[in-house]
Amino acid sequence: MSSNTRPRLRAVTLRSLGGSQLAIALAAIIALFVFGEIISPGFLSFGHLMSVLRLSVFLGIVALGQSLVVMAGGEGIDLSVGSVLSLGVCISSSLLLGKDANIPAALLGTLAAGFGIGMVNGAGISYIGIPPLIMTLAMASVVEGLSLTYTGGYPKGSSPPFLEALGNGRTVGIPNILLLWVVIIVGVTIILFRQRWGAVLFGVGANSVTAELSGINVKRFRMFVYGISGSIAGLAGFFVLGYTGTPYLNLGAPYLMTSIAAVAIGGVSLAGGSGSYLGAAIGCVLLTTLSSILVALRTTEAVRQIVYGGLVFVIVVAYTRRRRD
Amino acid sequence: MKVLEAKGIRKTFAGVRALCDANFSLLAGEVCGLVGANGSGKTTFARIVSGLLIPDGGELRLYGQPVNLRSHLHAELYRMAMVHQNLSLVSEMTIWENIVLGREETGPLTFLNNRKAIAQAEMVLDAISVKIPVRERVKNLSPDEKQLVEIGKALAKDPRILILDEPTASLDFQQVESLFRAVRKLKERSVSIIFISHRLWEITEICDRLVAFRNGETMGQLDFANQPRDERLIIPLITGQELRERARKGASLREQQISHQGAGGPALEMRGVSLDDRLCEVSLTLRRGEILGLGGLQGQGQEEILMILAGYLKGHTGEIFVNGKLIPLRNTRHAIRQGIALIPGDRHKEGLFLEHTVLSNLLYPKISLHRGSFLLPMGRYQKLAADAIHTVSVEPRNPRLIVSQLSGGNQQKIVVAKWLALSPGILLMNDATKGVDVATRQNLYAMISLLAENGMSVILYASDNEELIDNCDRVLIVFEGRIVKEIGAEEISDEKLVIFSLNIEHSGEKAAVAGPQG
Amino acid sequence: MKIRRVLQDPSFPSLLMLILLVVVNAIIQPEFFSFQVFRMNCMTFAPLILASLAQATVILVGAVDLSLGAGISLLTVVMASLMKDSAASIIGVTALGVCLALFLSLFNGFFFGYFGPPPLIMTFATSTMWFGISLLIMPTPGGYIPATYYGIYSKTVAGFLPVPVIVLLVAIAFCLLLGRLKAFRHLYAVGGSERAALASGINVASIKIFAFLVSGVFTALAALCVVGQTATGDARSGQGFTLNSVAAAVIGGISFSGGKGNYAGAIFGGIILGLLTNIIYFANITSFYQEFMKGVIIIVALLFGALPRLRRALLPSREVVR
Repeated sequence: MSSNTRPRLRAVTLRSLGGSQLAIALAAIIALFVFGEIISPGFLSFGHLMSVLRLSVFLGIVALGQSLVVMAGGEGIDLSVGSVLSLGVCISSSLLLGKDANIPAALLGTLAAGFGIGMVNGAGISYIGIPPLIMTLAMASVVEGLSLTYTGGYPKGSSPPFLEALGNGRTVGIPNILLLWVVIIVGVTIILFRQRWGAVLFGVGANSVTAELSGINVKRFRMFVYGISGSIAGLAGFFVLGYTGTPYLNLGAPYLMTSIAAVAIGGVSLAGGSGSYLGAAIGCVLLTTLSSILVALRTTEAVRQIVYGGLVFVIVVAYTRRRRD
Repeated sequence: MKVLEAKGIRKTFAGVRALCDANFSLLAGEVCGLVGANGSGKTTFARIVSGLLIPDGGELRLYGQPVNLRSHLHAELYRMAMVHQNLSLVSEMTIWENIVLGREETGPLTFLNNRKAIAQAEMVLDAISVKIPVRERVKNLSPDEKQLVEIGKALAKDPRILILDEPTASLDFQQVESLFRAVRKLKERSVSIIFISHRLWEITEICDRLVAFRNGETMGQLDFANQPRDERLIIPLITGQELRERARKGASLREQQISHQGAGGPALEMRGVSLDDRLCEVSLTLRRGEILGLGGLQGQGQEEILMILAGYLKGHTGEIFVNGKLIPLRNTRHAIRQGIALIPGDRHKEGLFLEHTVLSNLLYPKISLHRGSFLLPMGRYQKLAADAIHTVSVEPRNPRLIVSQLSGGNQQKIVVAKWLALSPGILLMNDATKGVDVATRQNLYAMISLLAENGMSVILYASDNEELIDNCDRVLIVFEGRIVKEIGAEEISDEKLVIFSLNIEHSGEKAAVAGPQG
Repeated sequence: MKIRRVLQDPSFPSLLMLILLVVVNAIIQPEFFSFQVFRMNCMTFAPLILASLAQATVILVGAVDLSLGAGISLLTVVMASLMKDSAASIIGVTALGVCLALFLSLFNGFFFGYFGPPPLIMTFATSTMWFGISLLIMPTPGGYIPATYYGIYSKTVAGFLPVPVIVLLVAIAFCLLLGRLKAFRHLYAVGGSERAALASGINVASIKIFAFLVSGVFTALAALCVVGQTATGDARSGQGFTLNSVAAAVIGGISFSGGKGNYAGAIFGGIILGLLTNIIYFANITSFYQEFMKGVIIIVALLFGALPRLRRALLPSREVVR
């Protein structure tokens, strides 16, 4: 048995990052890009590649919160991320009002609002015992209503120059937001696999009783995970605003189900206790690439929905089948 | 007549040879014990015989005919049934629904006959003298009642061969007695039984013969028709070594040390601790370096005492002192910081992360307590884990293995090692060696005994009286949430444990007590 | 003894809630007990009650069906595209609709039973597929449903039985029939403990398929009612049913872990949600707040349903983990 001479690197093995599932997902992305180049030359160009990757970032951030919630176990899921994102867009824009100086306040406000909503989810799920699916689904309706009442139906404000530069600008040809995302991915991976919080999270997800007996207050921990997911969804809204410039209602709707699909594709077990954010991130890129191809094919929304749903279906069924073998 | 005969059974899993030459025979109407250490292959053998696994080689004959069992349902066609521990009951359903589950006498889309099913269930339970009303829901039953229902379910298939796999784990002696009554009734009806257990006193009590496995092959046999029912004859067959000196010698040595260390004050004290209707005014003192046992029937509050001390159960009244200081013990983290470590009884549900690595499991409590550096000191932690693996001799020694791939005994060693790695001042054991073989158990207790000599204090709950007798300095009997008797080192005996567990005041009733060796 | 069993039935809290809401609704909505209003309520509630029964069946076997709403939409779209005035067409297309509903649920059930993917994501995927197909057939709401058809839905039989009630009675009869089937009891076993069901020799895969098939029957009935009520095909008409059916089932005492709860609770849950919608509407809450209130009330209703568990959570923990 080879010795543990390089503990720092060995701790993050390929297995813990998802192994062969990721390889398949990566292969699928490459295949899709090649296909895209065939049907629409220029698809594989650097510029377009960067565009697709940039688009994945927003989904990727939402998927971060979703990953954490799922990893924390207890059949965790957060179906409110879409509406929290929408709310985040509205709150951010109304606090920013197009001025850079307002960024700290807007960021804080958005994060706080998302966190608060997430904590309500967490409290209902952890302390009252409402199944996560239902609690977050119901909260989604509540938050949708909140967005409506907060904006009166007409979201105000706009995003400031700095944020737009972040959302739309590039450095060395690479979108700024993408660079930010890479930093986030690295940071999250370090926290998950080399930091106390991440190790605790995996334990809580794998077996909550064992974790509790080992000194973790499982209920409180899970509640906070939902809180974090909420604030991350709000943060995603903040960035989305930077991308779109002006706010609209319901910007978050498409992100909900895709975040769950990305998490599943990325090898995060829906039962909790295992997986990695890198996997979910790759899942996000895969799904965004697919959407991009469907747009390039000039398909109607109907066809897009069918293909999208069909693909997720096939992937989910195939993955489970392989895991059983 | 040999109802079952196995010759030369072989089975290999992923490079590990679980069985290389297993031989076994079972005669009609007898109870034959199957013993062996964890990893001896007896569990694998039982699963092969019951059709759950397909062997790589060897011959299996049932009623004289060679057979190739393809599934456990196939085995049932040969009127063979296996009773697991609570694996085949649906807790939301009633007893009768569970007993007839899968065997209702109608087609899938035709109507059920409930009255017939209820009558059938009542008949089955009656045959083994079980008096629980069949309309009761399984979730409301105690563990031994559930075990009896499992047996009833197997019986409803009208088997001629019954395999009981560790049916008495976590049952106290009274519950075991009711189980034995059922087994004897089965013998009367010419059912042949394979009885797998780690509890040697049970084997000597109920079995007619026994077969011992070691390292994947049959090591030897004992026929109680010709040989005395003495556990000491069995142990060498299992461990392949001469009988180890009983740990009681160590206990008397410790007694001297404890009185020496008494000056430092007790390690732990409970005063007037109550918990709704489960504990009433429990007071006890744990001296430094002492191994204190909690005895009594199952479910009398022993587990609650340990769980309160571990900080897991809350809402109790009364005071708890650790090293002389009054401690509120609000949660598990609190307890751990006080140096209290609990080894839980159900390793799957409470002790392990089955899909994580050995490393991850061993380090979890340490990691959860980690303070200071942002990143975890993996180098130091990995060394700690390697030391832990070495100390308890986990086999195989690879810290990157997934825990679910290890045998039960090794899994339990990991649970123990994980807690010992915290160097606790007070160790709580909640029936922690349940389902662990004799050799491993002796090793674990030897280790604990050594630690006790160096100042660690232990509170130990075991449902097996023998464990209490062998390892404790004192035993407190718990009955209906109260401490009813303290039995000191010199007077610990099985008879005393039984009597006081039943809380019998008058000696006149002693004769009526159906003790295991009485 | 019998009373204790009624009190401990998982659907009992929802019955109480139901009675409470009837009272509140009667206070807020004028002429609540008049036959006219009763008939209107039946027409509106029926699809939701049926959807709740469909979802309950799936939850009982340990899964969830997020494609329920999209399935209903697809059915309305197909029926509204094909139905003509002749009696043959009405009957034929209705039969086709029922078959389609069964096919859709069999699709879900087959893959769930034999491949075992997480039902949440799988049914999300199929819901997207059904939605896409609906959009393909009918990009904007429309289609044609003959007056004969939707006329039936608003009729009353024998002077006091609105047609929706008859549909519900058919559904209830179906429930009673199911209760006596061996496969149905096995459904509870699979939902309660798949391991135990396997050990008892039950074919778990076919039971799962059975559950989805039964759910398809209820979905078909629900879609027939929706078509009768709206007389249009709309790819988005079923959207609300998904959350509502899940909430209704859970409020009605169907446990999310499977194997616990009964159809009575599902029916109560469906009625409760219908009454809640009424109450919100008649309480003159602005449209902005309506979704918000709906969500809040569902959470409160769930709280109420979780009361026994809540009581246990607030008191010192009763059980040691086992």
